[in-house]
Amino acid sequence: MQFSDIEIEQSASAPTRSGAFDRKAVNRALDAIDTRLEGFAKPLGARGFADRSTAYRVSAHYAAQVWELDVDLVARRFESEADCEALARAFHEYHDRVFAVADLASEIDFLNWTGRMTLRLPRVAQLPLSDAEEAASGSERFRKAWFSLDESDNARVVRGAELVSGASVEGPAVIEEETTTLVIPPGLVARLSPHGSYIVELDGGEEAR
Amino acid sequence: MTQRIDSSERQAQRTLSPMLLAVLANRFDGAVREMSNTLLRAARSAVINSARDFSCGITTAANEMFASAEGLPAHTFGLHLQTRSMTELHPDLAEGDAYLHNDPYLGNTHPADHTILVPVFWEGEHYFNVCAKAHQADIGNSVPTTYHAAARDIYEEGALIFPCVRVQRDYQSQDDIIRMCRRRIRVPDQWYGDYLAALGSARTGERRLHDVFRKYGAETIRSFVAEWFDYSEERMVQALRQLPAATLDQVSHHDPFPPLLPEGIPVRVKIEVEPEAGRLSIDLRDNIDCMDNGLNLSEACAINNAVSGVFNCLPSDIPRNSGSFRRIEVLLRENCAVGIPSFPHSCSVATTNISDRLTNTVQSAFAQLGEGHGLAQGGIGMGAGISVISGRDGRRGGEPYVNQLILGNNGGPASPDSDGWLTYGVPVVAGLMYRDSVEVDELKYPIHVRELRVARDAAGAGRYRGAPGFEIVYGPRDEPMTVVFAADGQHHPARGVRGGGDGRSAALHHIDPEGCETALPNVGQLELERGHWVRGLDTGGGGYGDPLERDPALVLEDVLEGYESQAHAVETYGVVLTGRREDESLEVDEPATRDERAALAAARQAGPS
Repeated sequence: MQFSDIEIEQSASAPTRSGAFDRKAVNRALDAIDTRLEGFAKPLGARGFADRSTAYRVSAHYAAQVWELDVDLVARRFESEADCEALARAFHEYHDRVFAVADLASEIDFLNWTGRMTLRLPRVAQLPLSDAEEAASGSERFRKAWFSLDESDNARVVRGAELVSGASVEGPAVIEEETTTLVIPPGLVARLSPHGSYIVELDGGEEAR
Repeated sequence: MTQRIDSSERQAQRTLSPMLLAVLANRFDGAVREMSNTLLRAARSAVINSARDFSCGITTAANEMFASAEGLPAHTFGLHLQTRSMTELHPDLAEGDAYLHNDPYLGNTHPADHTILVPVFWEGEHYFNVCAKAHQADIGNSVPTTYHAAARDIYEEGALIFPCVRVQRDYQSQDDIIRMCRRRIRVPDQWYGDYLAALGSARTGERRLHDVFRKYGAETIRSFVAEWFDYSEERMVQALRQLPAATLDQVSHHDPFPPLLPEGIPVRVKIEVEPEAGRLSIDLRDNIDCMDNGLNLSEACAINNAVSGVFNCLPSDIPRNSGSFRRIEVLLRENCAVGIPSFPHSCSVATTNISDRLTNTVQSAFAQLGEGHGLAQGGIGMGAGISVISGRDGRRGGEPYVNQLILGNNGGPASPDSDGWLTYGVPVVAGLMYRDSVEVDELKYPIHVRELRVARDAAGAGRYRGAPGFEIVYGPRDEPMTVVFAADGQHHPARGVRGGGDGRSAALHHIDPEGCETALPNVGQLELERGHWVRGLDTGGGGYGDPLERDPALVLEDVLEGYESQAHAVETYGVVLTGRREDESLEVDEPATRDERAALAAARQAGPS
């Protein structure tokens, strides 16, 4: 089962300098990126991944620098001088944000162009309200579970989403999360930390994750 | 600052938990690291953005050295002298100011180290200064090098000197200063980019310190500063108490610089170790007067490279700040080549040549304390591969270029328990800088590097050996190239200690298109046409202890790795090997080795042959 969005990246090299920005070469590189992304996305469309978007960025540096910064593109293609100027402006601003300075008079080398396509997983509807009501009413669910070869235990089944910070679950128990299931053997206690992690305590207060 | 604090008082003042002390110490080092990352990534010249010839640090408002993370000690130990000049010269110091400082008479190391100083305020009060110091590719000297060894005085040197000059007020730049630099410094765009990188580094440090104040509050930070200095001092006291009491005298020589001093330039240190008092002093006053050349030390270099030699011989985790410095006294005198320079004597080459010898002299003096103490001397000299190249780039329409190469490399010194570090550089750098990438250098500058290799049989032998130096051959691509070098180590090698051998000496050759090689002196300037090359041999580090005591397995490994030849293994270490390197059947012949070592020891007894 697929639990996460799918992301795919494609890159193409098209070095150009801000003072003589080669729009054609850059647009060609972006076209090539789009073609490759499309080739990947098409078969997935048939499998329910219809919601998708692509973000573009370029690695760039001031003339004579050797370490690049990745800057997001505003436009999908460079149609006019204004688009090129907007990109240069975005680089200056980003350089100022990261390095606390910008060199507005300097030319900028744009080197490697990347497109990142995100195919969004169809969102699963939230749990039906009746379950939450069931929890609120205090009626607990149990399931038979085997922790030894001979006998079964009656393990409490808890929905992780309903636990509050600091709540404890004594084993034997099963904690059901949306994307995983935790099994707590007899004698162990799981506690939900304020950061949303489960901390499982062994006998004698020793902690295990 | 040198006032003694009674240890019971110190205990009483302690309010922060040891955990918080450690966390905050790392927060400040973290700020320095972020400054360093900014400077590296934003800079334009290869000497900064590839080789990392720069350092960042933090001093307190009272001008005490506070944090320097992985900064070069040779850069950072004097930052508090520079910020002192800032507070003294600028009583109207305010938030939003930035200062450019490269004045070697006011606490800077040498004029090529442009330093940006920014005072850091919190709620209107001045607490710290952040400092970003970077070795520039050019500073407008009379010749295209940042190391003008022959300069008779500062006028011949020709650098623009900034005696702590305000370059920003209210976070706005004073463009007059920028315009002055652009008129004088070669490849102005490269300089300006490097200047901005240093400014960005300092402003980044300021932002991070504000974050620390925001999180912990001024009261906690105030306590932390006092307690961290005290802790650092205590660590130094403990380390010094482990040493035997002694007075150490040691002299080393920088190579002669004609027409001066044909035996070389002496560097004398006298060290008093007082373990009972937990103190140490280094007296440099018995050195020659300032010379009419660019090799004189600045005050910062005299202090920091002497102190570096001490730190090199102590546990590596003692914090390097004004707290631990309280226990080390460096005695200097005015108008001294290894002391306080008198204006207008030039300090153009202050950070390397004599400084390297000073660190070496101090750390090798410690070996006199007995087995397990001190270090051998590290490889010295900025040979062909660490020279400043300049000219015009035919590939870019004749655009001018200038930069110091960091491709060469001298081998590190042996210690009581390990071999020398291979990518050591010079003693003042001690492996902390990066090395250039040949490919990036060839891309950025019209240079062709024909050969670059680790030299064989070049390390100082010993129970632990030094590291070997490198060998390099390079020349211009098309247009002529100027190479300016200010090296050392052709006459006086890096010395071994406690029976260890010296490292191999340096050599420098010009190769003409026919392949004829002509030897060159340590210091000079070369105009290379296409088809002409320069060959440089860097020095090896000295060894520690008797080579006949070296574990034969280590000698075997050195032969397998190519550091030593089989013949050298026999002559120097008395280690006889059987089998062949090529088919990996090489082994130590133990009986033959025992005999060879006994014979070498007997020959030694009989005196030199």
